Amino acid sequence: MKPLLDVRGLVTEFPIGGNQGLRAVDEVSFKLNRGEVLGLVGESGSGKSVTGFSIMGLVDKPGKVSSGQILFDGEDLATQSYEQMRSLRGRRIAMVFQDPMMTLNPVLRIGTQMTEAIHAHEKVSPSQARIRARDALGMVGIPSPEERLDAYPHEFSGGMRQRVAIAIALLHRPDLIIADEPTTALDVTIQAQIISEFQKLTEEQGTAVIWITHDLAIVSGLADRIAVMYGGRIVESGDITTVLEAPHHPYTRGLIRSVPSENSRGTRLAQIPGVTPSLARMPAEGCTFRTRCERATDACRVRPGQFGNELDYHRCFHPFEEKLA
Amino acid sequence: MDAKLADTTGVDNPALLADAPPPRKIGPAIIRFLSSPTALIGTIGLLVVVFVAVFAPLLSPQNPYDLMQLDILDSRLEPGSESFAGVPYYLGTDGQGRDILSGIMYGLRTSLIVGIASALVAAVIGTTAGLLAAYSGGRIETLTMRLVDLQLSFPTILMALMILAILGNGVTNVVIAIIIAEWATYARTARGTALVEREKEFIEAARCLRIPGYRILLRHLLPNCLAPIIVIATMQVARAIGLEATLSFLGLGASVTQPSLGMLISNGYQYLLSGLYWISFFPGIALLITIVSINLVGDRLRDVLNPRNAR
Amino acid sequence: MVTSLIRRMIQAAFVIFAMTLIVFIGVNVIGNPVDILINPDLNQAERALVIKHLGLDQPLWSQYLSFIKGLMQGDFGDSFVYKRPALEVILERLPATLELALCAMVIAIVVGLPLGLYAGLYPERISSRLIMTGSILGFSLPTFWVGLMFILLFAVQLGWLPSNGRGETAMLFGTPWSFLTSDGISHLLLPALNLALFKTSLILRLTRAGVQEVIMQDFVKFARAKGLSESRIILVHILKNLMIPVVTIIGLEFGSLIAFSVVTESIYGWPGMGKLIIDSINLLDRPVIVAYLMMMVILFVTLNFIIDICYTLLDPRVRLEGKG
Repeated sequence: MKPLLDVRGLVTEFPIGGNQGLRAVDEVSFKLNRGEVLGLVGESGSGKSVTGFSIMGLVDKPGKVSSGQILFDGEDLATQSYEQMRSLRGRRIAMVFQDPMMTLNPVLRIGTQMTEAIHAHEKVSPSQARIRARDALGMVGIPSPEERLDAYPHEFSGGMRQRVAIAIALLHRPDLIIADEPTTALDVTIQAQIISEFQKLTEEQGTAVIWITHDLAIVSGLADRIAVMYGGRIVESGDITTVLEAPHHPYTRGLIRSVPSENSRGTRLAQIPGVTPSLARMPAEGCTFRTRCERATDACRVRPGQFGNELDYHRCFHPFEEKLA
Repeated sequence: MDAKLADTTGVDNPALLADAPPPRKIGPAIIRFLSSPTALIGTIGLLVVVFVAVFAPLLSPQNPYDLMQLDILDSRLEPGSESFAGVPYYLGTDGQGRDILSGIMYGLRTSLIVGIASALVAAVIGTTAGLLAAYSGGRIETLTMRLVDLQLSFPTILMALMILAILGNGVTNVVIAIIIAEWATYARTARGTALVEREKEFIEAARCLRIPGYRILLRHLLPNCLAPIIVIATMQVARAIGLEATLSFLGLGASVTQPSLGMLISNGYQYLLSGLYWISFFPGIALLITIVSINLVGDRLRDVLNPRNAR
Repeated sequence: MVTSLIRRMIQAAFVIFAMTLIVFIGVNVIGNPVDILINPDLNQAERALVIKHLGLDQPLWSQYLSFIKGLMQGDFGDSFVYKRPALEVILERLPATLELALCAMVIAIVVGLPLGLYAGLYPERISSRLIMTGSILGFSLPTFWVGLMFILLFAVQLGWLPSNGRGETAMLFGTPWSFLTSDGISHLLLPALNLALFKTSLILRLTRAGVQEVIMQDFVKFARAKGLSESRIILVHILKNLMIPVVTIIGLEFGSLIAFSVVTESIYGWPGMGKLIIDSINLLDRPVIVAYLMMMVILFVTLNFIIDICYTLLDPRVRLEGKG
């Protein structure tokens, strides 16, 4: 079965004077099948958000996708024209952003922002569009949707706004939704609600999801597959249960162990030593994680390749083989 | 095998060394500043203007305010003509026989002095007021900022007119008027940046440590607002020069004995309709070059000093 | 919202009150009112009479009260030069100034806004850079000098447009306006263009800065992610957000335009308030000066007040704050 999304060797660079470019996304490859949920995990600065933007073609200038392929249903998104991409966005690939207050235009009504998304891709009458928008609001669990259509974003709570964003994303029944930390800005209790509603809706519609987050706990309950990013590279990728039970890469292992629930009471919280350097300060050659890795040797000065197969792999010369204790 | 906590400094293990941050230098900053062509033009223009103004007595062919040197028969000569004594009038003469070129050189002095003095004094007064307001907080701050808001809601020229109407004409009064009209901008900016700093916790910590107030002001609050203040001050010099020229043109500013460029332009107004353009035209060009140069420099300064435009 | 409205009105009234104090002190305390308000040609006896008549022998606070009383009734005394009530002299020149200022404002918006929008959306293009450099020239050039050069070029050299006066006017609502006659328009054109130059550059740069700010916000990216067309993003999303700060600043600048008309009116002999005040300052016609200053103060306070209200109406976030 052909994958819905096949990313091959994606490189997204930001020029920083001269010939040098900062690689926010450094040869990232992964595949996603229809209806699958991929958890893209990493700390801030790991390049996970930029990966999402690269797929959508929304990388902020002066950054750009400099090499690689983004095969969406066979078509390479990296080579599409602006108009072709525009036609795909919102219709077949949708995105949900992190901060709902910022993603909705504060001076336009919710209804307007929803109907314009409909009008962008379909010729429908304004009243029909309004009905669809109202139904979408109802679908995500917003009470009295008819009146809410005329409201402004600041009249909604954070959780409500995110529901609206999700409703907008689902308007055209897209094949793929890229959700960039959609629950990070919300209260924990709301988080759970949103996640479960989102899961329900995407399962119903058979939407593939890339859920970008730094929170392993969310991913563990939500995703089928996981890809861990560090310094712009995917350091480990695989089936969720396998990776969580027996992570190969030291970073993945460190991440999992540092989750508070994994630690027993009274013992010191396990942590990954050191601090994640900014993208500009990453080690220039070899494995990006070597400055914090207890297993690093001189061999790590060479850039590790993908060990494993196309779907399940890791990038490490000294991987762990045994299961987590 | 148990994992040992690795050495976080990574000194021993060469594989663990990352790059060190480069040290800051003034040289590269100046080069970056000049890398824009407009900034380069502006800086050159500015240097020329200042040079001419400073060395006016040495450079100018004639002292236009020494009545002994003037000859009424030389009046209203076109650019390029010669005087009786054979001295060339490159830019022509005005109604009293004064050499336009010399007039411009001396006029530049007045204009520059007025502009720089008023901007500087206004900057000092305004910044102090803004910082004090931010530091004191409470009633003092509210009162000061209300005053600032009040002043800023009136256009500068109106304020200047008001003050000149009360005080009378003259260059000094113009300087005072400009200072009173402009201090508020600095106050608002200074207070704004100081406000951001004030909220930061290290100020609270400094207070707890009983560090004297003026120290906090000077060491912490002041340096942060310097960058925008410098930019504003630069632009204000240009504005002040323009304002002074306007006021002098209207007859409210510089006197005939110590004219500024505005006054010179005003002198030429009556001859315009007869086609004697040079009396107003050339001083205007000089004014233009001065103001544009300062604005170009100020514009570039703003880009360079703005942390968001790290280009 | 009503409470904040009342609060603002009180603030405005307070400002006007403060300004009356300042103007009063400025004229009657700093300057010598006897010299200032009395015609220097009078002899001793006449001076005494006038002093009594003007109440200058009264204590200061009583003088201030009569000043305020006169203010309320619009009585500022008679102009020395025109021998008529000062306020009347000013008010008959108001339409001319308003017309000039409005015309200049319209030109500035119509030219500055689209250019600024363009320069903000496509900053790397050469045309944008040219526009920005042009705008620096626009606000560096001293208005009065540009005015002189306009006269030189268009009136003297080319002879296309007149350089002085107002030309013919036609009546509308009982007041004379120039734009209704072609001769009037030809007289209006140069001063309006002159006055508009500075403001155009200002609006241009403002719009550009505004666009650059708005463009960085997430909702623009989100609009793109929805697949909206670029033109819709620019015209609806960006422009609407832009309008709020731009409109308020345009409002304030209008006031400054009226103040700055003093220069343009002096150069072109345009019979408005600006020319009047300059002449009055030079001729020491103090009643007119005082009346003008007070009028401007009231004008500005009212203008600011209206702008505050507009701001509240435009920004839906602010609008509802009062309800909460």
